[in-house]
Amino acid sequence: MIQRNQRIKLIALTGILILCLFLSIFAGRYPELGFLSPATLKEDTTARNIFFNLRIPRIILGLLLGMALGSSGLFFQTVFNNPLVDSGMLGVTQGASFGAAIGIVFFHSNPWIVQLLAIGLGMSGLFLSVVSARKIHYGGWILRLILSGSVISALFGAGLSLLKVLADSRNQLHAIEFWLMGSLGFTIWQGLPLVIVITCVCLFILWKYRWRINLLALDSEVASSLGVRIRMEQMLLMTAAVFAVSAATSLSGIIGWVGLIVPHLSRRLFGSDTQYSLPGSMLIGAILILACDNGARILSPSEIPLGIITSFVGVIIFILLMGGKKK
Amino acid sequence: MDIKNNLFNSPAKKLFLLAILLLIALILSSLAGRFPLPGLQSPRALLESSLNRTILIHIRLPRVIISLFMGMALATAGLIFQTILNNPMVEPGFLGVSQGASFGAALAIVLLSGKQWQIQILAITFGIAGLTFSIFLGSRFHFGHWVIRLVLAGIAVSALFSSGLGILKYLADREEKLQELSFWLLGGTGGVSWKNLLPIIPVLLIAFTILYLMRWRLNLLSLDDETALSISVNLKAERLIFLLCAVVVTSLCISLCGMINWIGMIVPHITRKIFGANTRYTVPATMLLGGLFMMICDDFARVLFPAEIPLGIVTSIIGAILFFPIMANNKVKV
Amino acid sequence: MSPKETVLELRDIQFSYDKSDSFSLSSINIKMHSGQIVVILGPNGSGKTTILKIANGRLQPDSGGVYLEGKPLQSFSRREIGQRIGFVPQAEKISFEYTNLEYVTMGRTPWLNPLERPSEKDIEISREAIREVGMGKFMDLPVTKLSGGQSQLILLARALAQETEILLLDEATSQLDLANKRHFLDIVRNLAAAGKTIFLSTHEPDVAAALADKAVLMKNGQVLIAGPMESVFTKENLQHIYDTPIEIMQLDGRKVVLWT
Repeated sequence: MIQRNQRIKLIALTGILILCLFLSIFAGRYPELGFLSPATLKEDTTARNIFFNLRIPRIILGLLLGMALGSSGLFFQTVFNNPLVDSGMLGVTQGASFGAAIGIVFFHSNPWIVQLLAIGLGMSGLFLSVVSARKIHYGGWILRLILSGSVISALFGAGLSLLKVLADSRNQLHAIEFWLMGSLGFTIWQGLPLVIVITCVCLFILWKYRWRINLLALDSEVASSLGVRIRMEQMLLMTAAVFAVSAATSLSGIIGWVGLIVPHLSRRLFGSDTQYSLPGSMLIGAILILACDNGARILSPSEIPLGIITSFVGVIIFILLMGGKKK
Repeated sequence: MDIKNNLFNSPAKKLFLLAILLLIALILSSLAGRFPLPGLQSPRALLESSLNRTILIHIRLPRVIISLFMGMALATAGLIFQTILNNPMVEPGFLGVSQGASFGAALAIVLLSGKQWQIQILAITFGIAGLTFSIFLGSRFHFGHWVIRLVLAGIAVSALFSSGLGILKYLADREEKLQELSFWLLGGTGGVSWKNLLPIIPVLLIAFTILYLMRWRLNLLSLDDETALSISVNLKAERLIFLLCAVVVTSLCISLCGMINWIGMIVPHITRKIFGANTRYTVPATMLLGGLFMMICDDFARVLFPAEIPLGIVTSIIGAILFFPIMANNKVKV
Repeated sequence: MSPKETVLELRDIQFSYDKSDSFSLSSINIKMHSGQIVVILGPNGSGKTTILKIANGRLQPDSGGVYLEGKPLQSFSRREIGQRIGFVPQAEKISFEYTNLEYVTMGRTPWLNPLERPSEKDIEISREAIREVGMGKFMDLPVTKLSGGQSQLILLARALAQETEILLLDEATSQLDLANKRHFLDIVRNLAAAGKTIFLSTHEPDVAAALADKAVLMKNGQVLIAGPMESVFTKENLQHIYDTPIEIMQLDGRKVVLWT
């Protein structure tokens, strides 16, 4: 009974997502505010150019980004048993930002370098957090991860702030701040294949494990008695979650708050069973990003950074859902 | 056989040592600076000329004092929130206070002329607005235990203000004020003078005194509701007092120095590692440790290089350096 | 024997958690006087914990009232209630690594005003309480590292440190091994002999048999029967509430309950 309900909800969400995709692909500001018809596509080369080289890559990234942020946020909140965490807490967001800032300040914002540094340093944040967590003697494993993640984040954040201070305010600071607010507007095909591969693989892993994530939230005693190799599975899934987010955000910049809010929305709809709330987060995350991105590029001639819109819209939806009647 | 009676392990002894350290740091901080010469100067040199005296009294002393208070405020507020909300990840600003204050400051810098008093007033106003809104929103949620509702409301309000901040950063960029805004957001004691410091000192002292007198009661607020009620704790009132004090001291300090996020989250853990869980000791210890830490960081920020390093950067680095040796230490402290 | 004054009384209590809920308490009437041990006996889910929570004011009944020392419970402040009624829950979630002594000392709260800290005397009382439940060796050890049974003893110690005239105990023996259970029962009997009123809930008939002066047998939120042990504690009544065949045997002057 419940399973059927959940499946129906998932199917409905998928339907909405597909609708969103269609809308995103065909709606825009070219040639004027409105929908691009297939006829125009056939004739107008500029339209084709925009369609294939700007819009499609952007939509793909938006899709992947939303799914990655949503699912990894849910994973972390479940395993860490804490509503305040998302994938960035293990030094990943700050590391990626620091890497991107290095690319911007010292390498003239070369897109490849920015991307690789973002992924590389983001993942190194995870690595450093785990390694230093082992050294701490205070509290349980999860608490140690949280604390060391926080320290590593702070260190990278300090590096980032230093770079902001050194950055030339005309171009570089602007570029850094923009990267920090996130946007799908700079997506081009270059760099995208790498992201697609990484994200798809990682999302697949998370999706495959969607039921087992429940177990990782249990008391470690209980989980190991059920045959879960806790550390190993935790590490595997954590790496997958972080890798997916690092890859996607290496092109888009940091989209904050989505990874924090979407899991709560998903849990509100699907309950605590990650078997349903995980795919739910993926779908909701993707819908949110695409819808907001549509807003970002359609509503005003000069693009509003995505991060601003997603946090705003996400929160409104969140408030509405949370304020609803008790189930 | 009582461990507590052992000379070096007694919390009171440790507190005493900490207080002495703080006093020494206070004195040394007042003597350290870049003028007339970088580094530590002797008191005589400082009191020699009227220029030196002016610098000492009107520029350096306010900064040392605010860094002391800010460290005390942020660390203690963090401890209070972590204890009451049973969540090791919370920091004092998370109920919309830090994002709200940043938003207010950004308003002052971008849309007004960015004068110190404008920043201060708007930062406090929006900081408190953020908190009020979080509490209001939390009460309207119909989902879960009150702690979760409050935390989620805090997330929501912070996200809203953060998007507003993003818009302001976007505008700042167009008006060439981005650098000024970024600098403020990184935090620092540079804008502090007796004029804006004196009014808040009495409020800070009152709040700290209340917190100190009631320090043992904080333990009770970590218990689950059932238990606390059965030992006659007036949950609503006592939580309110603690939270109010925490928020007031945090907002006041942010309005002067920007938000230093991290110290409020980490210092309580360090204190708990050294002193145990009993808030009778961790409250004063956190105040002392937080103040000590912030003073030292501010010293580095203003003395190390000719150009001032933003405080947020220094606290992160020094914090990380201190964090691992202390937390990695194997000795069990009871 | 002169009739003792009623110390705690639940009068005509009706209660349900949710209007639509199937579970509800109805017509609960219980009177207790000092030195008396009253046991609520019933299967899981019969409403025992709910009654205890109503007795100390944690839950408000839909109708009827609780009377402490003859006066309505609402007329007492939270602190006054804390000084008179102590509550020992079955288990508790503990978030921080307090020592057992620190944890038990929190029981002294009703005797302290908000700006006070526990004095040496308070700490000494807590030490005594910990020793009384046999946990003296664990005084300065973390409360989070205790076994289930040990935690229950610490929770009892905290209520003892609270020095109240009335003690409410919710399934407080469920995790105790035989030796500890016996020790626990001895403590409770001594407390009653000293004049305290004990109101205890359990699903174990043996505990009731060992302790109770008066028993309240419950099933599905209803009181099946209440009264002195001799008249109430019968095979028929027990079988009725547990829906299971039961034998009661006499062993060394003690009643022992067997399920067959």
